[in-house]
Amino acid sequence: MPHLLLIGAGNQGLLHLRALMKMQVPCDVSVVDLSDAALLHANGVHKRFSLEGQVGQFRLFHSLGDIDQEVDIALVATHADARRSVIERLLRQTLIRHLVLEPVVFQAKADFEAMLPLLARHKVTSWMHNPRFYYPIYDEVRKFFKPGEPVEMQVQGGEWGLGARAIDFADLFSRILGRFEWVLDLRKIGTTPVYNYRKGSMEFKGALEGRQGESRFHLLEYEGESPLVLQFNGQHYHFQINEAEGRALWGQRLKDFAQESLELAKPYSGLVTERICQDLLTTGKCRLTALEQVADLHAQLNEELRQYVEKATGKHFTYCPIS
Amino acid sequence: MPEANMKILVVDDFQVMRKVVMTCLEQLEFTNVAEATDGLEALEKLRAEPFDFVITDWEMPNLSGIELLKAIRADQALQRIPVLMVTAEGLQENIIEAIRAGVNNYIVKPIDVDALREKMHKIFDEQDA
Repeated sequence: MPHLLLIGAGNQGLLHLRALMKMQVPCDVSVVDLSDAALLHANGVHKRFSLEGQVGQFRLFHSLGDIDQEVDIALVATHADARRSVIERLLRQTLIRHLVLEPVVFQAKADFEAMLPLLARHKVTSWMHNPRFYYPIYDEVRKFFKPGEPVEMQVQGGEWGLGARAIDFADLFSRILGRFEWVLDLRKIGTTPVYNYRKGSMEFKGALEGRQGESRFHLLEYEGESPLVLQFNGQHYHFQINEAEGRALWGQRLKDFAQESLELAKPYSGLVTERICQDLLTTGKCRLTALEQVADLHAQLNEELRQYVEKATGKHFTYCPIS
Repeated sequence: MPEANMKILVVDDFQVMRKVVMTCLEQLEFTNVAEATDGLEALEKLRAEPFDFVITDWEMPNLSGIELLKAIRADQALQRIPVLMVTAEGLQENIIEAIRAGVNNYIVKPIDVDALREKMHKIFDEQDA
């Protein structure tokens, strides 16, 4: 029976676990977390939802040392600063086929440089989690832009996590354009970074921009709460997507870009995990971006944010303090 | 040459893409256009009333574009209807499979008026020849 391993049973980890309880492919699930409280919550999720799917054996562990020799899919939802050591420890004792990593994947460029060859040596296929690749709207939007067509993309809203979530959108935009090389511009992150709710992590307000040929992206975070809105403007089509409201506006040049409304089918983001795991178990592939494809962009983004933080705070950082 | 009053069925599960194809057809002065949201609904409509032309997406739930094409070609009453397949960019293997299944032509997303006009003319010129 396939064996799925969840490392980290915090907020995001429990969402993954909730999704795993719906797995229709029979599988065993193990959860590892240092915290008793987190494991208690995980046990509660299992008790409440285990009848929804085909999960067989369900086990809870405090230590990676207790894990079986083989794991088909490991979902890593720990704090980013512990990520590298967790994976290194896991690889020393366990045969892993697929690794799904929550962004921020690693905080330092050196971690990417060390981990990619290590994962390759262990023949682990690694993916960066990004639920939007399982939202039908983004798969459709991609098809409205010709290869090489200049596209302007924008994300705006309040309190969405410009620092930690920038890689999610950079990944999405790269897949829409088919290329991962961007010139990044952080000059409009105008305010001083602030420590966020995660210990030692920072967040930002302002705008982070990227350029790829004639295409551009703008990530804007305002003060105060306001819904996240994504826009895609090409030469012939325009889309404006409000995920929280489950609707979009779109327009086409042939109709002078007059806006029409569109209802969106959006899976609950946590439940996307079930589909990712089922895809990996049944086909060996999934819709997420392979880590090796997005690694350079992620490391570049981390490095530029790290330099920005150093300049803004006057302190030295060997890693990018976002998570 | 395609006639302006011919009846066309546009099949796509994504509402925006159906509207885009219908806008292109409107620009080409085809006004007798119906729509279906998947292959199954398309097949029902094709069996219920006569159509002169089908434009279908490839990826759809229930009955995909290629399954719809195969069903059309296997049905004596429908098999002569010209079918234009719409595919996402870069899916060469889909195109080969569609040609083998008897598609009249294909068009790669994103669709524009000029490309649609050219493909339709090609299909109907070949039929007239």
